[in-house]
Amino acid sequence: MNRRQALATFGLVTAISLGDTWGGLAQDLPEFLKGHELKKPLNQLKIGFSALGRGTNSYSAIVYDIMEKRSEELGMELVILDGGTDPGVQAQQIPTMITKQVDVAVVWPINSGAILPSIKLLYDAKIPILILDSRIPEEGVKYTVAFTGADHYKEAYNTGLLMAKALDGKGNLLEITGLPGYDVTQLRIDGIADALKQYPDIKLLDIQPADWSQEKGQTLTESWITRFGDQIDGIVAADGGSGAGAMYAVRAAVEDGRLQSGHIKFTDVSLFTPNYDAILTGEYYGGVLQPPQTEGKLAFENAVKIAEGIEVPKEILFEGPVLTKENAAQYERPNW
Amino acid sequence: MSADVKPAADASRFRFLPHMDSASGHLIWAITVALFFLFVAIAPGFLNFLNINSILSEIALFGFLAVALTPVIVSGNIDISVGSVLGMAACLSIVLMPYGIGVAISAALGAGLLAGFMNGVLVEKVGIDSFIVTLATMIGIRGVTFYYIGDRSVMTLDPVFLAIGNSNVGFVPVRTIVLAIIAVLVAWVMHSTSHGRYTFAIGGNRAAAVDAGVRVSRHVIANMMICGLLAAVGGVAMAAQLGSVTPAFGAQYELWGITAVVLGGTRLRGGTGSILGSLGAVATLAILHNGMVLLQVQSFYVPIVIGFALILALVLDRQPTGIVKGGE
Repeated sequence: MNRRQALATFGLVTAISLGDTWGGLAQDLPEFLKGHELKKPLNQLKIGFSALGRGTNSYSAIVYDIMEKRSEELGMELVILDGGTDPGVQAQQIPTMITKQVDVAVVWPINSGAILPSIKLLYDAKIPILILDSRIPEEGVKYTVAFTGADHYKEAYNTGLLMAKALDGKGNLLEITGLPGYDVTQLRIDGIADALKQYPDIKLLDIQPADWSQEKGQTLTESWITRFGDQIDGIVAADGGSGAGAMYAVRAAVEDGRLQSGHIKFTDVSLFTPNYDAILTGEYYGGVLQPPQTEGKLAFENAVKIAEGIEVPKEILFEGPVLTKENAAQYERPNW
Repeated sequence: MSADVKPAADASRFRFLPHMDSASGHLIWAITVALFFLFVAIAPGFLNFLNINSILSEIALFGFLAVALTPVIVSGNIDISVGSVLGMAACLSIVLMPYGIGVAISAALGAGLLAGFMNGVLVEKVGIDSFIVTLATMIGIRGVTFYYIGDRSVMTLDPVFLAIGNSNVGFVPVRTIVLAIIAVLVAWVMHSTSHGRYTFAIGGNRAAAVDAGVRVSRHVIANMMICGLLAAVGGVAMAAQLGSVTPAFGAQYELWGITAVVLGGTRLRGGTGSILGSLGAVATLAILHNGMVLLQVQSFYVPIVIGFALILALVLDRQPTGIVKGGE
């Protein structure tokens, strides 16, 4: 090979290498990145995702799916850590994000307080952190870049108002809460409680956790039916899963003749497919539609922005619409 | 018949490395080493300082329970309340922190000791099977914890407590060092004291131990108390690391503890086992879990692999019964 050929070959190889690198930058940018300068090609980004556990419920599973799908579409590496609802396990796994040298850590805390040492660890390793869905205590916020999630308090407040409307301002109510120790659980308890303060004739017979589980919601409601029977006028649930479980328990009791059909009103803070279908038939009074797709989309897009050094708001919140039989058909049927 | 059987003269020497009597006891350490080198070869970042620290931290997570359960299972009993005791101790240590770190930790450990005593008395003095007793206390202790704490998270920012839980000596977490010290102590008790030898004897053949004049109840209750205490130590260690726990903390941890003990060569029917084997199994599980996370293997495969390994360990361990080992 003569000198000219060598130079041409070198030039070609260099051009291809640069093209491959900068092609990652110059590729058709997704809408949320247009107009921004990227500090790293998208296909070289590594996103860490530590979350509740894919098997917790269908909501969680869809958020996982969206993170995986969007990462794959853009050629990014997604480092997934499944905490399986155990804060101890999540804490052991977080250092893996540092080992893997992720460009951004998306952390969905299983226990808001227990995650603090891990957040500090990531911060010390200079990995920017996006908190998802469940807020962490004030002491830890300074180590994070942003929080994204639903406005759980507001959605729960609206659910409480909806239940008050369903009961015409009076009656006996049962409340199913979420996973103990989870920030979202407390926000939803507070939201519902604050809404119902305006209705002193609504009496809370009992309040118990069902850990976001349909099975636990059903078992709990079966016990309540045994204990309270036809005293029950309404059941408000922290999520659609446990709400659906409550609905199934009541349905079975109605079939057995132990309860009157159509008497008990159901609402929840985060509708799932069975709840939505039941709204259309009238078995379920209503609830808030909180699509996990929105949560997943916001988590992914803001994580990428943070990894690329693009400024994002400190809080990125969304609020789902309230659905009843009157307007439910206007919204797409949830698939979770 | 004398009230106490005197130990054999040559068995009083200290034995740091207890012999492992079952096939799976030896095998587990071979598997630990093999897995370690396998993941060094195929999992990028496995040998990273922080990753080794993470593995050692995970060993502490279930190691306390494995060490706690070994003497109980060697004696032919079981304690499935350890997860609940761990959760109770974790919650107590945080809730009582305003009264001082000494009070908080002492109360948590005391509660664990009391739970163990209660289990032991119910098993030995009332005569109920240990599985049934500890099933009841597993449920009851969890319920008491929920009643006392409520369905909320409890948190502490005590800097000394959190420092204990998150400090390292080099790349080794302090919690893991504490586990190692406790494991050595328990191993010494098991293999160099009369209590340890009687534990093996009771597990090997309880009737023969009774006939030989061994005070069986005393030793079983003692093992249950040690188990409760060590489960509480585990709870305090985890509370110190996390700084925040819920009453549900530690749920199903007893399954991992028992899995590690069995994988480590201790027979569920009693009479054989070692702390070293149990620790080897904990290390294997921690390395396996960590390696699979690094390789981004779906989390659902981990319990499948562990379930298969457990069945394999039980199959390999099928040996004729009636042979009392340990403390020779």
